[in-house]
Amino acid sequence: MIPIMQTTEKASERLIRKNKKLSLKNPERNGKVIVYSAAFVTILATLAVTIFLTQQGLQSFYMSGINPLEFLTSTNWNPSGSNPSYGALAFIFGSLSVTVLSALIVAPFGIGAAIFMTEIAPSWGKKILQPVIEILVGIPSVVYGYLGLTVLVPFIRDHIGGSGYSLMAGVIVVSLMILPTVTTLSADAFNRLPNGLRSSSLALGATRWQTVRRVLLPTAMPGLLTAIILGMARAIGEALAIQMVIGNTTILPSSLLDPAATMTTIITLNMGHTTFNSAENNVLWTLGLLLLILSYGLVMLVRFLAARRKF
Amino acid sequence: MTDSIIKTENLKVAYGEHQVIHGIDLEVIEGEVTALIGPSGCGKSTLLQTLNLLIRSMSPNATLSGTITFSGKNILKGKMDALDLRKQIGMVFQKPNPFPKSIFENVAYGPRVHGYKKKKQLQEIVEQTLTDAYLWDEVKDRLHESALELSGGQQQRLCIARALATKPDVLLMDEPTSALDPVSTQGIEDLIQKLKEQYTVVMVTHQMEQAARISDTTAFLYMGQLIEVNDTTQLFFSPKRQQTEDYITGKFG
Repeated sequence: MIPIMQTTEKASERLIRKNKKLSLKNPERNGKVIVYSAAFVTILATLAVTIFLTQQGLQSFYMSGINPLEFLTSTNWNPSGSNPSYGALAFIFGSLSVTVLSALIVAPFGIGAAIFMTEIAPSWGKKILQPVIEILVGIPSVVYGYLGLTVLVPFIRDHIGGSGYSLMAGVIVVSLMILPTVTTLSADAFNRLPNGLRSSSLALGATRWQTVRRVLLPTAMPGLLTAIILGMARAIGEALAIQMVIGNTTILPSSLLDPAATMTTIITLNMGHTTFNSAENNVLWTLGLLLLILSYGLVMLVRFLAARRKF
Repeated sequence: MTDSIIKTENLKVAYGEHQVIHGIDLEVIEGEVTALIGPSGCGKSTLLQTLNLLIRSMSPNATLSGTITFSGKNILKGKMDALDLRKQIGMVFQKPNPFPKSIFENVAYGPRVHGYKKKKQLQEIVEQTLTDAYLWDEVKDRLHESALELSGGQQQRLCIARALATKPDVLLMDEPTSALDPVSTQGIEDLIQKLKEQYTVVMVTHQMEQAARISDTTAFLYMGQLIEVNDTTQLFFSPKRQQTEDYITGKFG
C-alpha cells in the first residue's frame, strides 16, 4: 500500500516542514558543485580536443617525416602514390578563399538586412524577416548542399561556364548558410545601441538614413565585424555542403569556375580509407590542427573587437 | 503683450488606443524659460517630443490632433518638413548622449546634416557654439578627442552645444540635469539662465525647486491635462487650483 500523507495535517504546516528540510541541505553548496563541475567539464573538453589534435597533427612532421614547409607551400598532393607528396596549399587556399569570399558577399547583405529589421521597418521586419531568418538557421547543411547540387551546379554549368562544380558554387552555398548568422548578430549589434543616439540625431534634423550612416553604423562597427567574423568561423568549418558542390580536385583553382577543395572536404573525403597512424592519416590530422588554429585566431579577433565596443 | 513663439491648441496625443494628452492649450513666450512640471506619466515628456515632432519618428503608432503653431504655421497640418523644424527647435535629453565621435564632430553634426561642408565655416560654428555653452575653454585643446571621455556635466553641456549648432530659436530640454551630480546641475542651470538671452527654452523637470529657480513660466500637467500655467512665482506662491497646491506642497506626485 502507498503511504498517504496524514489528512489531519494542515497544508501550511506541511509546507513549513518542507522548507526546513530544504534549508538544512545547504542549497548554496549544491549549486556551487553543479556550476563548478559544468565549468570544469567544458574546460576539460576544450583542452582535451586541443591537446589531442596538436599531438596527432604534429605527428605527420616528427613521425612520418613530412616537411612542414612542403605541407604549407606545395600544391602537390599525392599521399597514396609510390612517391607520396603532401602539399596542402590548394586546400588551404580553397578554405581561405571560400571563407573570405563568402564573408565579402554576405557582409553587405547581412548588415543591410539588419538595418532594415532594426531601423527602417522594426515592426514589419521583426514579424516577417526574423522568423524567416530563424528558419534559415535551422536548415541542416546537407539540405543546402543538396539544393546547391540540384539547382546551383546545373545553373552555373548552363549559364556561366565550366562543369558547374566549382569554387563559385561552394562560395554561394556557404554564403547562403552564413547569411542568417551574420544578419542576426548584426541586428543584435544595432539593437544594443542606446536609443539616445537615434533620438538625438533625429532631433538635430538628420534623416533616418543620415542617422544610420553617420551615427549608428560607425558606432555598431565592432559588433558588425564580430558578426562577420563569427560567420567566417562557421564558413571555415563547413564541410558537407561544400563537398557536394565544389568538385573536390587536388589542383589549385585558377578561376572561380574551376573545381577546388577545402581542408574540411579533404578530411571528410579521406578519413574513411586511411589507416590510423599512417602518414596519409596523420596529414589529415595536421589539416584539422590548422583549422583549429585558424578558428582560434578568429575567436581572438572577436575578443579583441568586443573589447573595443563602446555599447 | 509678449509674443508667443509656440502655441498649442486642443493638442491631443495618443499611442495607439492609449490617449496620453487630452487637449492642451499652451503658449510658450519668446525669450522665456518655460518649465513643465508634474508627476511621472503626466505627459510632460510626450508634450515636449510633440513640439519638434520627434514623437512621429520615435513612436510610429502615435497619433496627434489639434494644432501647434510655430512661426505662424500649424506644424501638425499637411506635410510639414520635420527636418527643417528640428533645425529650428533643438532638443537636449535626460541622459547626456554624445555620439561616440570627437568633440568637434559632435558639434559639427547638426550643421553637417543640413549641408554645411566648408571646414572653415564648421570651425567657426563649433567655436561659437562651444563658447555659448561655456565649454570652449575646457575643451579647446582637445577638440579631436572622443566626446565620451568628458565628465557627465561636460557631456551634457556638449549636447547643449550640439543642439545650438543648428542655430535654433527654441531649445527643448527633457530633464536635462536628472542624471547629473549637484555641481554639474548647478553648471547646467547657470547655462540655461544665460541661454535665455538668445533662445527660448522649454524644459521638463522633476525637481520643483529647479523650476522655481530658473523658469519664468511654469506649467503644471496632471494626467495628460494642463492644470495650471502661470508666472513661476505666482504659480508657486499662490496657485489658483487645488491640484497644483497639493502637488507643489508634496501631497501627491
